[in-house]
Amino acid sequence: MLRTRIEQANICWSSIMPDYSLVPVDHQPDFGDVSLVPVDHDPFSAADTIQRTRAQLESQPQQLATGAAPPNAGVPANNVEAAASGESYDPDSASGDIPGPHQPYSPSAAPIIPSNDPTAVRSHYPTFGELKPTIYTPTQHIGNLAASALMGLGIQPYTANDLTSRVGNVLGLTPFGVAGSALDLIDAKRRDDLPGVFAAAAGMIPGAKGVARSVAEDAIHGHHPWPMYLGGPVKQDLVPLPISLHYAFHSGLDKVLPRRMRTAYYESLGPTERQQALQALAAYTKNFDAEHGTKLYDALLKNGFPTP
Amino acid sequence: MIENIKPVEALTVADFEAHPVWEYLNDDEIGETMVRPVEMIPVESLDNRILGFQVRLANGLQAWASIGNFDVTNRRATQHFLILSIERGGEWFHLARYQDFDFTARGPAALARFLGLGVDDVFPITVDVRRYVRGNPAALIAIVLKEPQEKLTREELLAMAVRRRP
Repeated sequence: MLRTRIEQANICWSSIMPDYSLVPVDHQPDFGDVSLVPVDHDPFSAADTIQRTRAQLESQPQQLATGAAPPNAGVPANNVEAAASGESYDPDSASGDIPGPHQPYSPSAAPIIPSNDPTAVRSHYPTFGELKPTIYTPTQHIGNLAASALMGLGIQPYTANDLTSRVGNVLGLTPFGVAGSALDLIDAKRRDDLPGVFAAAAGMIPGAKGVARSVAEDAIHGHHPWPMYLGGPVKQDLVPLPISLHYAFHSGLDKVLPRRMRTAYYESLGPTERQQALQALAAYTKNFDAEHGTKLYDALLKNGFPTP
Repeated sequence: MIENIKPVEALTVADFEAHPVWEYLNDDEIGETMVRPVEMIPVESLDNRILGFQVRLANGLQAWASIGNFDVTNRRATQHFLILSIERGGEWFHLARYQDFDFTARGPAALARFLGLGVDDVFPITVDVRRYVRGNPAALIAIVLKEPQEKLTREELLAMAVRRRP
């Protein structure tokens, strides 16, 4: 698969929405590469439009070569007018929305390419012979960016994806607010601020500022890989688990080694029975990992669990 | 308002009289065994929850019991994983299941001794949760036998314990 970058897509945003502007930001987040997928046919078959597009390409070769933003990450380019007028983005604004200076907030004003308007798509994504760019929706971009940042902090993919999908499901995703929250996310990631990353990831959704942190915190539990009631130490490296998985883990473990039996019971076991209990915990954890794709057994060993 | 949170092992009959259904907080940092009462009953699910109410012994007597691992959608899972504790004089007896490694010490015969009854006076024990849970009535009554009708291997039990819900 040929991979390249596209930049000039940003230029076209203003032509789609000339009366729309976004607030300026100090720098652009790195949205990563854009994949190109080879296709067998040109979906925009009108010869004149293809020629026009190619002519456009020839006139802007250096932009194509150095571009960093993906096709639908053109928010900063729209900020030219706003930046010139000295406006600034307030990430803590009450609504989290980013209306223009003289415009009321309107979800319909989101810079989304109309799916039924091939001309608009074509102007953003000029054809490259038999190649066309993979088009990520703004929602996919937000989710991918948030999940990548979370995984960059060492969070398991299942946790990162669960969080991003959970937050997205709760609030719905639109492109507004992406830029500011992306900066928050990157900043929190740089500081290794785990709750901050969760909050920023949630905050990438407009209107979510006030609830972002609580949504993120509610979505994740710190899990003791070696439960204390089974002899695990008080101080352990907690494993962040989505609530649903955490509940599932303990619900299943209760079937094997019930919490109702209380800590004192497990502490009172003789050496043989205690060994059996540890073996049961190890076997259950391995089974849980296999079923749910977690790595809790590794975490169990890292926290001093004796290999039974 | 201070939430009514306590370790599961500290639950008493009085707690269950006030709140028949308790749920685990699943907050590992304060302890995995901490529970809080569920205010609204009947509930939809008993996952991660403990119930306390009176069960009926074979001889017709009622005894306070706490119940865990009652699966309201899977009678077979309930049959294999149900945990039952019976109270007498402020003490709880935790009945071992056939797969528990101390079955001999905490099995049906030991429970009968704890209650001062014969095994056949105690078993079968009828556990009826219909007052506390919404669902298929047929799945809300469990019968605890002195000898289980089916025994699974350790591997089969583990597989059933971690299985995803549909």
